[in-house]
Amino acid sequence: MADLTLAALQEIIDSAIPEWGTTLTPENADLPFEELGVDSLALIETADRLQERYAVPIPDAAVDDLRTPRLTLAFVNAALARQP
Amino acid sequence: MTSGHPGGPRLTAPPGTPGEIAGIGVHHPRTRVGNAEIAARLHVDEQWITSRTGVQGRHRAEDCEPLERMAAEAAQDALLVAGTNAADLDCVILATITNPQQTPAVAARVAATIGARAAAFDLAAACAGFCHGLEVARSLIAAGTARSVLVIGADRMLDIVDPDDPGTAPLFGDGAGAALVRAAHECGIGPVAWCADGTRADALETRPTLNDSSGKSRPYLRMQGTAVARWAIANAAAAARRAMDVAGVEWADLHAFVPHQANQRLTETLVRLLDMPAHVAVADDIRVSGNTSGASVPLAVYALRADGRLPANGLALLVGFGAGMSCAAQVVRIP
Repeated sequence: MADLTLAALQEIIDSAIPEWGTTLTPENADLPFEELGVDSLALIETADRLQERYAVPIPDAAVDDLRTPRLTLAFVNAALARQP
Repeated sequence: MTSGHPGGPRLTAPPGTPGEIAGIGVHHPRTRVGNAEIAARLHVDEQWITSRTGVQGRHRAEDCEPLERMAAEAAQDALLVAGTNAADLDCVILATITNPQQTPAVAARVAATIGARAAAFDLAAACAGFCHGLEVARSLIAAGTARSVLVIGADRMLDIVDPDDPGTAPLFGDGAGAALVRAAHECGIGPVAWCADGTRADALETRPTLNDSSGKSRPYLRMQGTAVARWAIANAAAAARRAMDVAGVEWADLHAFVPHQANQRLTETLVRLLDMPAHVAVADDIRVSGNTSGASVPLAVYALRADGRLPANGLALLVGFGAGMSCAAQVVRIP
């Protein structure tokens, strides 16, 4: 499975928030999701979709740690790297 | 959109004598609590509450409005609407999690208050309690055990909500709702889709327990928001689809979607995940009543009927979900 990129994350959040209208960039990737207009429920949906598409487990406690786009990329890609 | 019964879509009937809802009653405590009071205590903005939860206010039961009285008021309302005498009831089921006593069940007191000489018991399935109660009532009627069953959902949530917890204090309210379920010629309560997952029990529970001798606090509701919302989104949506499937209905047949009123944002997420067409009225009583746990589904149904968004004899998809974790959904015809 290819690494999670900002563009791929963008696509997943777009599907969770149809009217989102924010573009993820390296410049805003360290902002908290809440400031980017992604609230806790949208983040749960995003986590569920990531878990399904990338086949990596994202436990409930980990969802609370996905505070920014970059932290999300780091979590998913670290999990992918651990896979055989 | 298909018109209501008669001539409308029929529900796939489970085996046995069919059951129907013959009347719905509600009771709101008199005292209204706006967000300003909650916001001030939590040191947050009022807007912070409305944007996160959709709750604009809630009712609070005073000392003179104990749980049994709220439940009895809603019950009498339902009996009146259904044109049924309390003396003719075979069973009274009270879905609640806020009985201030471990024993006895509140339902027996409610039955006595309304003048019923019926079997009476409480049912503990939290925010899914009313939908569980409907299925128990339907089953009792299907089996021939009962002809007339009162299902009440009533909770004084503010008794168990920590007023200083920003995760729960803005959400909850007090209230009661009831439905008279009776034997019918045609199926008015579809088969249930339900489940429980005790592996997530600690995501939403009161602490400390009776056996905790530390005595630091009275038992308050403690919620792991992410875990609860995640479980609810996945399981409530699945139960909703399954309930439609086993009732043999499609969105075109349904007039209203009534999920447990947990959080308006959660309702909106469910609507989107279910690809619900715009003609289906979506319950939003959380704005007025907050999350009233066992009472939330009947209160929300009543509100939709009262303002005409749900026509008489229209079909509604009910989905209860909450602590346990537990979930129950069914398609019902609302008189």
